[in-house]
Amino acid sequence: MFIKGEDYYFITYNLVILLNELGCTQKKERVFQDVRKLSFLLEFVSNDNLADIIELYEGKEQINQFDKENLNKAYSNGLLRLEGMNRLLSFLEKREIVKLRKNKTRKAIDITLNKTDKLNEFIKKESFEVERKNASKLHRSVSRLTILTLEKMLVKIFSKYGISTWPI
Amino acid sequence: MANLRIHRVEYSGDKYHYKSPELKPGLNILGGDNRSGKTTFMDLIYYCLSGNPVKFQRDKKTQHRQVMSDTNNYVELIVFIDEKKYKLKRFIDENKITVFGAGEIKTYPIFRGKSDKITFSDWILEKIGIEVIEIFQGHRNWKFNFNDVLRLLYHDQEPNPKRIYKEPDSKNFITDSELVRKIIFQMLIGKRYSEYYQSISEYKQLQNDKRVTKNTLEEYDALARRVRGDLEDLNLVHLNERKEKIKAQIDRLKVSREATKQNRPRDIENFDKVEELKSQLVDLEIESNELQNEEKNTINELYKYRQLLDDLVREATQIEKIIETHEELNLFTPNTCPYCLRHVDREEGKCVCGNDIKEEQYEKFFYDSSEYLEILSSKRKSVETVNNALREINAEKNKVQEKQERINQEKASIKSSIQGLISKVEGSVNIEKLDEIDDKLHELRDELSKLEQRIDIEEQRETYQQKYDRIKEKLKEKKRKMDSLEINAEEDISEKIHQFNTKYNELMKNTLKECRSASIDQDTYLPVINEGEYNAASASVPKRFNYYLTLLNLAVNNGEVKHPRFLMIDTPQTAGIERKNLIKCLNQIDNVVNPSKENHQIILTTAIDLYPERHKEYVFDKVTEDDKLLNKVDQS
Repeated sequence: MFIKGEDYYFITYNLVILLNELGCTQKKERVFQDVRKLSFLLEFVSNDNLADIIELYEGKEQINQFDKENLNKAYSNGLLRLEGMNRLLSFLEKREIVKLRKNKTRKAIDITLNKTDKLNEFIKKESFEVERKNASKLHRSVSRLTILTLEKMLVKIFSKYGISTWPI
Repeated sequence: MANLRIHRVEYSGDKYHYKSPELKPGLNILGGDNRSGKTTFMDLIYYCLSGNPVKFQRDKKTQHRQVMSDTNNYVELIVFIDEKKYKLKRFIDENKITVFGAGEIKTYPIFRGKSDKITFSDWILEKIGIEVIEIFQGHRNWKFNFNDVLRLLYHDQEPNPKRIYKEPDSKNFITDSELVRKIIFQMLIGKRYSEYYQSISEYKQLQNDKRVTKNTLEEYDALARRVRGDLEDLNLVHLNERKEKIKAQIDRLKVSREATKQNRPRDIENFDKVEELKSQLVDLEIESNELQNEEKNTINELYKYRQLLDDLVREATQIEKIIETHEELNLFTPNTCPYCLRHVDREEGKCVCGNDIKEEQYEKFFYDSSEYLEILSSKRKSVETVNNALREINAEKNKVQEKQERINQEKASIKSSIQGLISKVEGSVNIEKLDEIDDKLHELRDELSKLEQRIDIEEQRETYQQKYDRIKEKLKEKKRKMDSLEINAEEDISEKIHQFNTKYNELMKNTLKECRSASIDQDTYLPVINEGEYNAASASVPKRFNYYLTLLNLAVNNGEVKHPRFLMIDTPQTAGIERKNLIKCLNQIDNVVNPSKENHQIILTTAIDLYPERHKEYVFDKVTEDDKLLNKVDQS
């Protein structure tokens, strides 16, 4: 009935907060390369367990069963979200919340946040404290998140811990 | 008593032979020159009577040239013992004599080996009637031998007769001892000496037994002392007494032990109680285990519900966030097309694509604020429900844990009850007392077995003691008998010595100028001339000669005397005064016996001019330098 994962609103606020945290705004002129990565990263922004996992196992490779299970779930959800993302992203571009551009070398789409004052206020809302924290943890734990290729990022946050991934 | 006489002498070999004429009882003279075979003749007889003449000993410088160089040679004697005829045959270099006679042929060894076979000496002594007495000389036993007898029957050609008796063939400290010489005299002349000597050896044997038994007794005493150790010295009676006492003690203790063990009924009760408690304990354990499983399940459930709660709470917060985002950004409405995300004006009862639908069943993609709020509240209710469930489960878990705690306490209390009961059980049997009794029993049994050991030793000692006492009795008796026999023997010998002295005196005075008295010593039976003051060398020939003659005289006049009335005289070669004396001695033969009488035999060898004329008829053969004794066998 209500699939939160695919809920566009869910994707929207998580995405906005993450892009903001990563500094991928027009003002800063940093571009987030390959929107597909966002599909997976949103899991970590919304779920503090996952964010903790990433932070905890930074540098380590052995992971316990429960955490492995959670990561697995996160990967599956990320996969499922991929299709829906594109539709929403073109809509958000029409509403001038984000800006998309094609990345020829990677054959992917890059994204920047169009941070208006209104948006800024929205992002700073108290309700989104958890998401902001998670985004920050993610940013700290995984380096060059904006520039990494999808494959490399998947390795860093999934394969490294034994989660099987497959080419997308 | 029996007589011994030679009937004929024969020597036969490949090279030489000799056969004597028939010899008669009484005097038989072989006359002849010196070194013509007179001694050979005597040697032949002596050899066949089991003697060992020097001349017939091989590889000696003095050996008889002809005899020892001859082959297949033997000596044969035809003898009469007690007028029974026997033929004796002995080969040169052999130490056995074959006896033909009385319907049998038997070979007897001369020397006594390890076996108990009868020797030639045993045989002939038995025929003559002289007992083979045994003398204990320290460790060695000496048996009377015919050769010993011959020492006083064969007057051999001893050139310087310092001694009376003929030398024994093999000299050793026994054969040449004074004791043996005395015995020979006693056996020949005395009447009761054989009995006496028999009793002496029996006495000595008993003394030996006594000594051996004494040793055994001493061994037992030493053994008893070792076994006794520091304990009291008790004899058999007292040992047995003590044994009975200890046995009684053991029996009493055994009874007391049984009585101590008899406190049974209360034990069983307690044991049953313990068993019951034990089974209770087991039940509690099982229950405890079940509770543990329940607890585990509860905890798992708790975990799951917590997870669920967490997810629900997260979902709820996420809905809150979505509402906020919607409020702020207002991106989508229930009339947004989910495919192209454009706004659609949807009619009621119609889907966004334009088809008819039932409004109640229409599944929306986007919601408006109020709808979101509804969803949120329902989520919140779920959270509430889960929380309640969690609380219930927690309560459940607590109950289980409480129960577990209670069970643990109960288990502990049961365990301590069991402990208490067990110690009570021990008390009622009084194990300490039992142990005490057992220790005492052990001690007593030890003592008993030691006592029995001592009793065993004492009993065996007893038998030896009795044996010893018996031997002592016998010894006393034997001594008495021995002493009385000795007295008898001494009396008899005294009488005989008296007779001997009478004749000997006469003969000596007849043959020796200076002689005024001649007798034999009571102890040594050796001649004493003129109370011992006359010891001239010239006396030695008649001293010895007359001794042998006197013995013969005694035998002839005393029928019961064992002397076989047989004499061999090989007259010595003498010169000067001794020759004169010898002639006188030869003349005395008539004084001793009647030479023609059959109650004796004398075989005499002498030079042709020595014997008296009247004895000419008694010459049975002559030997000369040209016609020696042994004749060569015709080699043709």
